[in-house]
Amino acid sequence: MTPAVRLAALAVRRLGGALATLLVGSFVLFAAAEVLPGDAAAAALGGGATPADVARMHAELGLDRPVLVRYGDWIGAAFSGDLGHSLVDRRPVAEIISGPLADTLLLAGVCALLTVVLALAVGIAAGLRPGGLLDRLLSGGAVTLVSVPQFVTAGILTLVFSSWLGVLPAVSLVPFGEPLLAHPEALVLPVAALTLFSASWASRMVRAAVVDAAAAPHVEAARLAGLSPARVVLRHLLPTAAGPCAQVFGWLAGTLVGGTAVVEKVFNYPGLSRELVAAVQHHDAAVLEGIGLLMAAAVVGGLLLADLLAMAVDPRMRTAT
Amino acid sequence: MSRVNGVGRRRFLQWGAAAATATAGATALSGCATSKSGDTRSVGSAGKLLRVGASDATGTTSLDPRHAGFGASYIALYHLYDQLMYLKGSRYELGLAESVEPNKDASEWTIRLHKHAVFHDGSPVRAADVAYSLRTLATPPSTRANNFVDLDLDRLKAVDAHTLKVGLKRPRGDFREAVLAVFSPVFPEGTRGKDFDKGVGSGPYRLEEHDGKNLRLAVNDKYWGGTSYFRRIELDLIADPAARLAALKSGQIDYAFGITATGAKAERGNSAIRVRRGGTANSNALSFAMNEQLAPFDNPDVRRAVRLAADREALVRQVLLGLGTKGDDVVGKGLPGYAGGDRKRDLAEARRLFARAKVDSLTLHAADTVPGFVAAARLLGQQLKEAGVELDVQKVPADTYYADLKGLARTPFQTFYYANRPAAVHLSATTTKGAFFNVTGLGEPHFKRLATAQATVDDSKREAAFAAVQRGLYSSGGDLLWGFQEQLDASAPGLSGVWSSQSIPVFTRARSA
Repeated sequence: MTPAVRLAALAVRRLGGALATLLVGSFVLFAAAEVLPGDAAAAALGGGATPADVARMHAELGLDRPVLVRYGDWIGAAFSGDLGHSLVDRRPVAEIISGPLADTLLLAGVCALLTVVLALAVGIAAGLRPGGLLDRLLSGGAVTLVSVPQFVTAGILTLVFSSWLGVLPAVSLVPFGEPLLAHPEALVLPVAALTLFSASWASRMVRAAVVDAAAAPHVEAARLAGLSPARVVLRHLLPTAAGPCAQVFGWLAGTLVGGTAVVEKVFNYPGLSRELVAAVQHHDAAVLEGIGLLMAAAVVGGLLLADLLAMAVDPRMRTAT
Repeated sequence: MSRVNGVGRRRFLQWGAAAATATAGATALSGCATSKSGDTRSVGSAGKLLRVGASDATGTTSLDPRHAGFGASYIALYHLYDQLMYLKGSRYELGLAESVEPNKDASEWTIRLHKHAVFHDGSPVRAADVAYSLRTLATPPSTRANNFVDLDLDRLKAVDAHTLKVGLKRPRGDFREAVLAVFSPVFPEGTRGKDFDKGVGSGPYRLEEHDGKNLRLAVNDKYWGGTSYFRRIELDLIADPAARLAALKSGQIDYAFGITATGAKAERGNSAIRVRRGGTANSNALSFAMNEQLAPFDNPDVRRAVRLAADREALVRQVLLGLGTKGDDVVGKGLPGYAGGDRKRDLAEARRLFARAKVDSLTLHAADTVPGFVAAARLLGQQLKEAGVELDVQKVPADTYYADLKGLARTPFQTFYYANRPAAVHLSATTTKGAFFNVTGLGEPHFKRLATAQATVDDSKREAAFAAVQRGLYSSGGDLLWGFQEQLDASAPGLSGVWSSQSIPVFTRARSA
């Protein structure tokens, strides 16, 4: 079996595993929506509804069918791209979440890009001289930023750049009918708050990978052979560290989509978290499940991407699996 | 922690402490931050724009009066739709109705409308529209159906274009203040379902744009009650109170509906914004509700002991940061018709009553449905301990607190709040038989007394009857109502003329300096 075929076979196997994980996750999600206190029909009708009204609404929404039948219908439709209709306003779930999803993806995407650049730069710089002044400064800064809750970081950024300096908006308000991208200033503080945390966390992982790679025998041998430091780093050290780093960034890409909630709330960012909270408040299981499934897919997809990247850059990973 | 990681344990702790100090410092300094923008801003030469930031109980902005949530949706409704009557601060006022008069026994009321009112689509407002509106609001899926439970829908008839007869299932002398003034928006006959998204009413503003969350209103120049100063109002849904305050301070909005007590305290010295306190007329009455149908609160001694053990002043001081008023177990303090007492803490008597009832532990379900409720519950725990009772505070999620109405009615002891409204309004809206939240387990004797009071036509006799009902609740009811949490808003300093109805700010007479 050629390396390319082996890689493709591994990728297919991992994809199958990811789909199975998603399937299990979707069932857990559906079950969780079921056990939420309250009832979508009663919530839609309001407190003045009689038991007969609720029963009628149950039948209308299809909530009187067995749970497994409903799950089967829902997951079947979901895998064909139909996330169903909101139980509250009957609009298609895809229509409700498409706009916020785009805004969340924009936020997560910009953040992921900046995270990769910053984490690599900081992690490599710190990891090359472990224990040195630069390492201590960068690592200390990273640990501090990871330790501080995101809402505090967001608050400090708002205080400095909005309240004191007045150069950036405190919340992400966009004029009617205009896309978020037409007002990039509305993105700056949410991206900064999210990136400071994720880049700090990822830089610690990159640093650890670089330190480990530096201690590898072949890197040591290259150094003893008298190769220039730049050549040792570029040809031997970084390729060794690339596998673990790729896994870190793949995982991060997935979790960022579902990890923007705090920042979205603090900056009133028009992303998915607002829809998620509204869905919980309305007991709108269809929207809740749609958003949950998307977030689960993002995380599972990110992990899959991480594995594939790691296998692509590090041949040892292909045999290890 | 290994050396390779570059961070020793001691250093890690030092950095942690430094971070905590920086955080605390920044948080404290935020209270001293000054605004770059203060006054309300104008939009071109066309006129003034007012930007309002608000949250909504439902997480979205609905223009459907049947489903609207407290917050942004209500602010929109108050500007788009005329109501027949309003509860303005502590007074009842006529709105679209020119007069509302009862027959001899208050079993039928005659409503006369202003003759020049016109809907935003140009059609005149007729009695048939009012009949349709009341019928719609009184019928599920309207969440306000309970407010109109005594309307006899078969006897709801337009006499002529501007006169309406409203028959009731039972006499209600308090129909004006307890039904119409609470909520009575009027919309065109035939409005249903998605039609409500257009927000067609006869109010002082009409809908210009609505994206499901935020909306823009334009002044209605043909409004029968005269035109308003602000040409446009933009309503931005901002869920987080700190974000609303930050948006106000940075000049992105002119009015922040709902800020926290902490925020209000922190901004006291900031001349660039104005904190607006709602007073008792616009407040929430905060209670630890005991269900008198369920043990151990089916024993009046236990209810009395819990009430006597609470240090209400301390709760108001510590939980509401002083931005509120002490409660004495009855809703309506500071408003017309209030007949509550002045409850003093009596630990010795509380201890004696608990001992007699053989109660040494209680369980309280607490949720932050209003900020600080869980903290208040914990403080109550300390106070009850002084009376020899251990309180187990079980924190439950606020987001889904009202999802299970039956579960609420089965909970013996829980945090609960009511809008503080005049006694007649509160008693009729929340303590009648079949009311949504009978969390104190009121029974038939109360319902009968209340029905008698409601049916009394003579104003002074009705007030006396309502006072008797309140005295009953004060002496043996299930609410440990300890404080009134004022509605706290903030605005640009130049904004004046804002009035409130049941904590909702109305900008029809607002002006910018």
